[in-house]
Amino acid sequence: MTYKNKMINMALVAFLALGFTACKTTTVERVDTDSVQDLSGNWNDTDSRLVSSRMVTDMMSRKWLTSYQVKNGKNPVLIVGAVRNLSHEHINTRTFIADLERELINSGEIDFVASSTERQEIRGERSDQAENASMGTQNVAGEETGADFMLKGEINTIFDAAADTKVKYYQVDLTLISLKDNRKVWLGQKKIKKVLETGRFR
Amino acid sequence: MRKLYVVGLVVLFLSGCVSYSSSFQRIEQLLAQQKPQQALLELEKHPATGTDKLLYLMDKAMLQRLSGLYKESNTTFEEAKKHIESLRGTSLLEQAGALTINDSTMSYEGEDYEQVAIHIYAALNYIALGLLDEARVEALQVDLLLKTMATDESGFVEHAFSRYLTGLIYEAGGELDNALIAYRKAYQAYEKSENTLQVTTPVYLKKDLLRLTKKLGLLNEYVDFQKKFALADVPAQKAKNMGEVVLLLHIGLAPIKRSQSLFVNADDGVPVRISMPVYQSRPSVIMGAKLMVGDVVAKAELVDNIDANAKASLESHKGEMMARLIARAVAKAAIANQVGNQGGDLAGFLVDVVAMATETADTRSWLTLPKSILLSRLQLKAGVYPLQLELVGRHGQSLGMVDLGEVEVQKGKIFFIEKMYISPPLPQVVM
Repeated sequence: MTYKNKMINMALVAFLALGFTACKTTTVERVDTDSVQDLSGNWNDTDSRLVSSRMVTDMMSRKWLTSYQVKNGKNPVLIVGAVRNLSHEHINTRTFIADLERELINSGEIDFVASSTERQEIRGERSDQAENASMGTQNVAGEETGADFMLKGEINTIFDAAADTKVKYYQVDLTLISLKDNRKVWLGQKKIKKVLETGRFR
Repeated sequence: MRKLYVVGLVVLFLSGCVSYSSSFQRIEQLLAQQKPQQALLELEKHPATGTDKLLYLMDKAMLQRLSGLYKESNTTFEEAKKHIESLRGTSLLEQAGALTINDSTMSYEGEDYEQVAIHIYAALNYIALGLLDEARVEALQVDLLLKTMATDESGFVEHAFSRYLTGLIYEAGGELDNALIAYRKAYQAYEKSENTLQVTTPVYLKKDLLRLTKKLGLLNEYVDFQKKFALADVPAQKAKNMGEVVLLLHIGLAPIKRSQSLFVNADDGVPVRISMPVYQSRPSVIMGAKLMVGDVVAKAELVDNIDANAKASLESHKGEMMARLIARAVAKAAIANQVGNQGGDLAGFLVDVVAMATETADTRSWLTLPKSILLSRLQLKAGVYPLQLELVGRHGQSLGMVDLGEVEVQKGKIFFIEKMYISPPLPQVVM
C-alpha cells in the first residue's frame, strides 16, 4: 500500500468515526473559559449571611435600641414578619430570615418571640399540657410575651443584560415597625452589585 | 478486504441514529389518552444527557406538571434554565461537528419561543402552588429574557402572551401600575404580530386596559383606548365584593419538525442537496371553549398561537441556517471528490454515501408544548360557584362538557384554573 493510499484510508476512517459520534448522545466536552459563569452570580448563601450580619450590626448600633432600653428598662422584644422576595431570582427567604434571627438573638440585646406559625404549634402543645401534664409542670395559657417591634423586609433587584454582559443589582430593605403605634423606628438598606461577563466560547 | 471493511462501516452507520422526536409516538398516545403519569414514566426510561438534554428536561417538566407534580416540575424547569445558561457561548467542537456532519451534533439550546415558554409554565406552576411571589419572579425573568432577545439579532421581538400573563400575575398581587405596563406591552405585541401569528388582541385584554387606565386615573389614555376598541364605558365605581376567575386552557400539541430535502445551487452554480427542518402542524379537534357559571357564559379567546409562533421562529433564522447547510454540503462534496480522485471511484462513492446519509435536518423541538392557549376571564361576586367548561369544535359544535367543580371566589382575588386537552375527553352520556 502506498503512503498516499494510507493517508486516504485514514481520512476515510476519521470521517466515518466522526459520523458515528454524531448519533451518540454524549460527545461534547465543555471547557469553561470564565469562572464567573461557574459561580452563576445568583444570590447565594454568602450574600444571605453577609447582608443579614451587616444589617443586624447596623440595627444594633442605632439610637432606637438604647432609647428603648433606657425608657423601659428592658430589652425590646422582636418578631420577624414576612420578607418578600420581589426579585428576579427564586431566593429562599427562609434561610435569610433564619440568618437574621440568629444574628439578633446572639447579640444578647434583643429578645425574640416565635413567629405566628411557630406560635400555633406551641399553643397546641400547651393546650395538650393543660389536659395531660401534672399541675406542677403545666405551662398555662395567657402568659405569652407580646412583641414590641416587627421586622419586615423586601428583596428587590434590577437586572440588566446585553449580549455577553449582565449586571445584577440587589437591594435588601428591612423595616422595624413598632407594634404599639406603627412607628417605623429603623430602616436598613443593603445593596449588592455584581457584573457578570459570559465567555463567547465554551 | 479493505473495501469490505469500509462497506461494513457504512452499513453500520446507516442503521444507527434514532432521533429524539421519532421515539416520541408512545408518549404522544398516552397524552392523548389523558395519562400523563404513564407518559412521564415512558419518558424517564430514556433520559437524555448529551446534546438533547434540554429537550428531555423541557418534556419532563411538562409531563410532571400535567401529572400534578408542580413542585417537581419547577425543579426540572430550573435545571433546564441552568442548562440553557451553560450553553451560552459557542462551542468550537460542536461547530466543527455541525460543519462536517449535521446540525444535530450541536447542543439543543431551545428556540426563542421555547425559552419563553419555560418561564410561562414555571410561573403557572407557582400559581398552581399558590406561590404568587414566586410566579412574580418568573414574570421578571421573562421580562429580562425578552429584553435580552430584543438586543440580539435573532429577530425575536416580543411575546404577547407572556406579557399578558405577567400583567395577570401583577394584578393578582395588587400591583395595578405594573399590571397596566404589562398589559400595554401585551397589547402592542398583539397588534404587531397579528398577521404573523394569527392572534388578534383578546377582548379581555382590551377590557383590562380600560379598567386599569380608569382606575389609575389615566383618563386621556382611557378615552383613547375606548375610541380604538369601540367598547362600552366601564362603570366608574366597580361593584363591591367582586372577585375573578381566570381560566387557561392548553389545547393540542405544538408542531413537529420534519426533514425536507431540497437541491439548491451553491455559489459556483453546482447543485447540492440539503435537508431543512420544516414544521408540520399537529391536528387538533378542539377549536374553542366556553366557561360557564349558571347562565353566565365567558367565551375563551385565543391568547397564544404556539403553532404559528414556532413556524415564525424557524422562518426568522432560515437564511442563516441555509447558509450553514450549503457550506456543509459543499465541504462534503469536496471531500468525496478528493477521495475519489486519489483513492478510486469506489472510495469516493462511499464517502459520498456517508455524506448523504449523515445529512439529516435538525428536527428537534419541544414536543409536549400545546398548540395554542385560550383564556377566559369571568368577574363574579364573592361566593362559591359550580363551574363548567364546554369544549367547542371547528364548526362550533359541542365536543363535551367538563365539570370543573366548585370554586370559591374571594373579594379582590383572582382564582386561576388550568386545563390541558390534547383530544376532547370522552363524551358524557346524556340520558
